[in-house]
Amino acid sequence: MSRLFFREALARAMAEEMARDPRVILMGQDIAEHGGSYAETRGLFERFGPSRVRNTPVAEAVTVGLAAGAAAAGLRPLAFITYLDFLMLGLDPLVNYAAKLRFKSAGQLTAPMVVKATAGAKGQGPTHAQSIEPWLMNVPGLTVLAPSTAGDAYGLLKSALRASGPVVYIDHKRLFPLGGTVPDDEQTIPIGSAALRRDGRHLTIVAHSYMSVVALEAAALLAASGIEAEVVDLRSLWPIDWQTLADSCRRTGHALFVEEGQEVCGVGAELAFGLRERVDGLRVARLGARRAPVSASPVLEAYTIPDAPRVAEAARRLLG
Amino acid sequence: MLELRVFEQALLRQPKPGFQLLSRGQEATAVGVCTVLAASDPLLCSGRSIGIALARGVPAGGLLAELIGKDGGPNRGRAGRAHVSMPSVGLYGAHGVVAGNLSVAAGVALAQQQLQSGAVTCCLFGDGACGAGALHETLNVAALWRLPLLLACDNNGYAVSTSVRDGLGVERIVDFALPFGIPARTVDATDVDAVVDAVAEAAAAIRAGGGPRFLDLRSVRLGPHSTLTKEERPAEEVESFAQSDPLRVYENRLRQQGLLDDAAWSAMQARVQARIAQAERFAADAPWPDPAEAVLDV
Amino acid sequence: MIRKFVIPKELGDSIEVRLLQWCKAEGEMVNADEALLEFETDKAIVLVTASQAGVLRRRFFNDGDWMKPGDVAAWLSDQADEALPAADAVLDDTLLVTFDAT
Repeated sequence: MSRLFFREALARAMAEEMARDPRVILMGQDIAEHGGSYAETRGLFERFGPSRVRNTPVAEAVTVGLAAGAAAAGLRPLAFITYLDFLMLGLDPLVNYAAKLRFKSAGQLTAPMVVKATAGAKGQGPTHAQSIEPWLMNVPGLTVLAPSTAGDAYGLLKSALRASGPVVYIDHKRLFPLGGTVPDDEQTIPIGSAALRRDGRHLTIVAHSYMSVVALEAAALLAASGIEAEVVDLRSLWPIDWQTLADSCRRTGHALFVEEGQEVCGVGAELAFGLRERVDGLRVARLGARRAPVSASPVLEAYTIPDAPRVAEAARRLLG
Repeated sequence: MLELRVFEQALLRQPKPGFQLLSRGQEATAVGVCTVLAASDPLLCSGRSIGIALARGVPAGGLLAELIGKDGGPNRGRAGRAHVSMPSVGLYGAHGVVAGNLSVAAGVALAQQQLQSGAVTCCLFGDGACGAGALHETLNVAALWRLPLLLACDNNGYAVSTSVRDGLGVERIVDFALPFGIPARTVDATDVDAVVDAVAEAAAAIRAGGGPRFLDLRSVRLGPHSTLTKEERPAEEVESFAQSDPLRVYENRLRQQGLLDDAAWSAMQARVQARIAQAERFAADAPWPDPAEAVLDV
Repeated sequence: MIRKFVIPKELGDSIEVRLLQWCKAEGEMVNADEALLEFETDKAIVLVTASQAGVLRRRFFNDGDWMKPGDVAAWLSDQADEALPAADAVLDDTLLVTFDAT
């Protein structure tokens, strides 16, 4: 195991998959000599050259469309979307073409593509802060992944680049400053597997991406007052690892769903319904952003987005 | 072309033809393009796909079944007109979102470039797609990366009820390609020979590594936009289109060149009618898909 | 006078950094405007240059180690033979440095 920056884990996954499979190509803004908006493609242009590491204009719609068409025709493209908010510009080729391609062609054509987008609020304002994962989970034909650690970023990106259909891979601005352990040998993490981050018998906190980090902080706060929270990191937003979630919820009887995005029609809404179907008597609660756009002002942003004390408070309320 | 025309007549005779966009008047575009392109050249198109699919080589019976939602066609009834595809004959697919196939076609062309296949990727789109941002983003990238892409506007002069004059701010559709330095030609697409000529020239240039090409293929839409839209153009205008009917134009030329006489024309019509009748029988006999297929291949 | 060299906190949002390499060995003189060490944040490589002279007496991290902004990474002293306090002592005086991020 080595300790790497989040961006290094991503670069390593990409380098390995590009070396392994010549069909993997990268396209996005500033990914060539500049090394990526988050320094996550450093070294790849020098190693793999301009035809496999392509800068695109600032045009997310055509970038996603290019990836969809290239995938349909036999490549394995990875399209970078600097801010998840701007994936909205590329939703037509992603949702109307790529996600439906295998179905509408009756299996003759598929689009094995990855769209990597960075979510999350970090002082950049309402259109550079959104977490719209539920919009994507909702689409039949899309796989949606969200790592919270460098190790998972590495293993999940490798799996995404080997998947047979379109994958949206969502990381988070606040994960990049963190280091994490990554295995020294090549390893993938299967799509559709959640990870138990912390054992606890009183309640299950389910989160993904940066909120998994926040959930662990909240669990530490709760432990100080004798409440032991189990923390499950989703990692895969679709398909959902219902088994791991249900097993945990059966043990604890209480589930708190935490997300950075909106609560309305959020990840928590889907999990609450799905787990109540599977676990008799489960008591559930959800916590997401307050219902407003996210301001760049640090005071306003902090008020809007869940933090560890608010998660802990929600957990206490759930436990009554 | 005759086969395309007769096929659509057969389609309209179906008990439940569904929501269809017909190619009447635009057959020369479909036939001209498909005459030049090889099966290994990926062809993408818009929702006005029926003539194109047939010209491309999708079997008539299978296509008819597909259009009415039955099994037996290339997409087991799931695609219908708006999304029919059959990559084995080079039909990468129709797409139901106006301008939705343009950036996808650029991606298909990128793959051909990357894989060094030598293929030309062609995307047919209507004049109605020309106002969409997708066209301009695609032109930009195609020019930047010198993609082996032929963008061909299947221009019948109308986007439903909006004429080209009222919908587009340019004098000529080829003007869209000029800022990107992409060579472009305006073609009288009521004349199948002219279409073949222009497509052949463009395809050869693309195969030689010359980057993308753009064609404005001007034809006429002989009927309303769709089977659910009524004709709103003035009657005299629609009648005048009969002069530009590509079938009539080509028939007249062949007669003038001594390559077609009444007997040959009748024989041809009989052969086409027989083939289409066979297609109708195929579609009639084709089964409806198993409902469980609604959730397959997702 | 013994001074501590502290990993700068003014590094934006860095939470942890990786020491790439020391530019001076223990016992070596560090003059003003000489490079002391290089570390990497998630965004950039930072070269730390001493603004005042001192002898590098103790290095608390090795090449490749991870450090946090605010960590004491080294002690420097005016004279090579000044007695050092115990390793866990908290010093008051901080070495002045400049840093360049690329």
